[in-house]
Amino acid sequence: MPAKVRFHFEPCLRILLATLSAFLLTRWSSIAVLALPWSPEQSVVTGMQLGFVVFAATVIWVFVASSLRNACLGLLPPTLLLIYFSHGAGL
Amino acid sequence: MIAPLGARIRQRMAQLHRWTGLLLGWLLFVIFLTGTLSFFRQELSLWMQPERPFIADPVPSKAAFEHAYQYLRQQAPEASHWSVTLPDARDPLLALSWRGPEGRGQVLLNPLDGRRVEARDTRGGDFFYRFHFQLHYIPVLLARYLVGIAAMMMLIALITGVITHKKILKDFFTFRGGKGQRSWLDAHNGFSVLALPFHLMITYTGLVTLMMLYIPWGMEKAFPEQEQRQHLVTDVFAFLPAEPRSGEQAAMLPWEQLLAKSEVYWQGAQVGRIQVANPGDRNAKAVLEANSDQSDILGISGHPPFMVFDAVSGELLREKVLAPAYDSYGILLGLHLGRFADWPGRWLYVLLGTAGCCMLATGLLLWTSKRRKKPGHSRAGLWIVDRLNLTTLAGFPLAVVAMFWLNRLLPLELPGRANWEIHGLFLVWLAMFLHALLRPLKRGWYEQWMLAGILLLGLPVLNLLTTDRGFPDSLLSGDWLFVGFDVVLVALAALMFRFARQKRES
Amino acid sequence: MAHLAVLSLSILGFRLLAITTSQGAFRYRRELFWLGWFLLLVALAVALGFWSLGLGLTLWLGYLSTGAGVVFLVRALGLPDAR
Repeated sequence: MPAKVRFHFEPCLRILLATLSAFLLTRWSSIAVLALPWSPEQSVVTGMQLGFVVFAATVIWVFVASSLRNACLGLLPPTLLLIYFSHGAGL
Repeated sequence: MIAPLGARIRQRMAQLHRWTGLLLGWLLFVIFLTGTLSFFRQELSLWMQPERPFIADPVPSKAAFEHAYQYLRQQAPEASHWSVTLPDARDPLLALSWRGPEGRGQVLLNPLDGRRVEARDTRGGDFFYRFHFQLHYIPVLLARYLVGIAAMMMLIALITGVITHKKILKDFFTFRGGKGQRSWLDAHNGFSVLALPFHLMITYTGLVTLMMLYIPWGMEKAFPEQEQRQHLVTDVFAFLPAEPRSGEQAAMLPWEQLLAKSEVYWQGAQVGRIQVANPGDRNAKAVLEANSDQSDILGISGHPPFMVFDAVSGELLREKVLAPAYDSYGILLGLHLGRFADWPGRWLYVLLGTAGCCMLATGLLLWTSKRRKKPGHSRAGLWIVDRLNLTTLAGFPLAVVAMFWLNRLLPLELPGRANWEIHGLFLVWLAMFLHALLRPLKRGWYEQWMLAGILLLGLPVLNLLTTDRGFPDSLLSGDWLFVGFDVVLVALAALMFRFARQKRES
Repeated sequence: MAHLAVLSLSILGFRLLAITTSQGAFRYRRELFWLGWFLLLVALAVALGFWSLGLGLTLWLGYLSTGAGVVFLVRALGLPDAR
């Protein structure tokens, strides 16, 4: 019964993907803000305030995407961007 | 509003909304209820300590300062840290606290004569304030993470709720009463949508208040050492880090001089609190902090301005750092705390917080009312959700009222009295849980609402019998806090009886 | 009292919006609909006039919610509807 299995399996995978990607993106974004041209204190505090928005937006994106594959594809650009900038900050 | 989204997306959003809501709905209801009560933190403390004298007009800060200084110099000269909270519009007493090698202490002084006020041992409104972000009986850090996860889920549930609900403005004013599930849905939508800006704001800003705990990675990266991180806190909060004493005695400047400097600088805003580190030592430092309820001068920021002085020479050492990111942090914090609000504004906060409680309650009730109709749904799951709904939605408010009863009934000399009030709350809640398990569902709801109503109605009577600040006396002396408390209790009791009647009739 | 003014304006505005967006046709429906929105704007003006920008916006949003809530609850509780 592939249809039935998929029905239970997909939401679980989405929840897993949402939690994991939201956590990682929040983490990277909070470090990537250090690349902003302000004092580190200002960047850190900005990053903390924005972090919750990043988290919520990521979770919702994973559930909005029409398939798991699309969800992953959509997550790719911000992930690469944030990793790039966190390295710029000396990750 | 969100029309272009497809039906399948809306279905998935609804799924996410339902499960995040159910899993954490009970915890969130308890957090929202105690958080709403925290807007009346000072007022609750005042009511829970009826021994406090009623002072109609606030005492000028200069006279109060002098009493505080004399008391601390005599009673706690060896302390390493003094803190003095001045009388303000909400709390007319001087609150002093100190800590040092010989332990810590706190005391309330009457600002008129500088005499100690002996009030009953209670946590007062502070209990609700602490509970709404760190719960009770479990380790503080664990509890804060738990509350943070719940708040994050709430934020997601709110946004997904908006996406699920397609015709947000059109359905706004439709309510179909007496139609079971549909009226729960309408009520849920009503409470959510009408206060949506508030719900989003209070949830997001709630997360921001503890952001250094929840999103520490940027801070850890930029400032690997603990000492470096500390100045993120001291830039915006009136906080004196512990420093060693020099061992050399020195006379401190009179506080009035420091007071004069700060009030000129803050365009006349009143000082709310002064803290002194190493008093009487050559290294003594004092920080003066403006009272945050002066929105006409200070705006709504949750970071009131402060100045750190060398308490011996009077030299200004540092002050609150102004910067865009700090300012937005301050505004978000201020919006959450609502300390800027005058009394109508505070009532507004409480009303909207209540709408939040109602949103959570109706959402939880909707969950079971929807599933009760599905023939194939697991009975056991429904049974337990129904019981937990009853325990939380009726049992917890009842337990809070029981705590107010204990506040008046427990003997004053009982050791650990303040803690017993709190244990009492949880014991009553536990009893309500057992009651919910044992009774048939409808009877259970009816009995708990009735009991809550009776307890609420009895509270003004109990207050009249056990204190000398009953309704007639407080009305005559113009003590609006106690009058208001009684009026609100009776109104709430009427509401509880209405709920009970609805349960009996349905 | 500014608090009361903003609250009443918001209740009135939402009441008009509620009436004009419900079923049933009557005269001046369009005009009353826009009057409802206009009253909400007047409430904003009053709030900003009495309080500073931040405080005014905050309290205005708060009273908008309360106003909408009152209108909603009046209907929900089935109180006489002057429609």
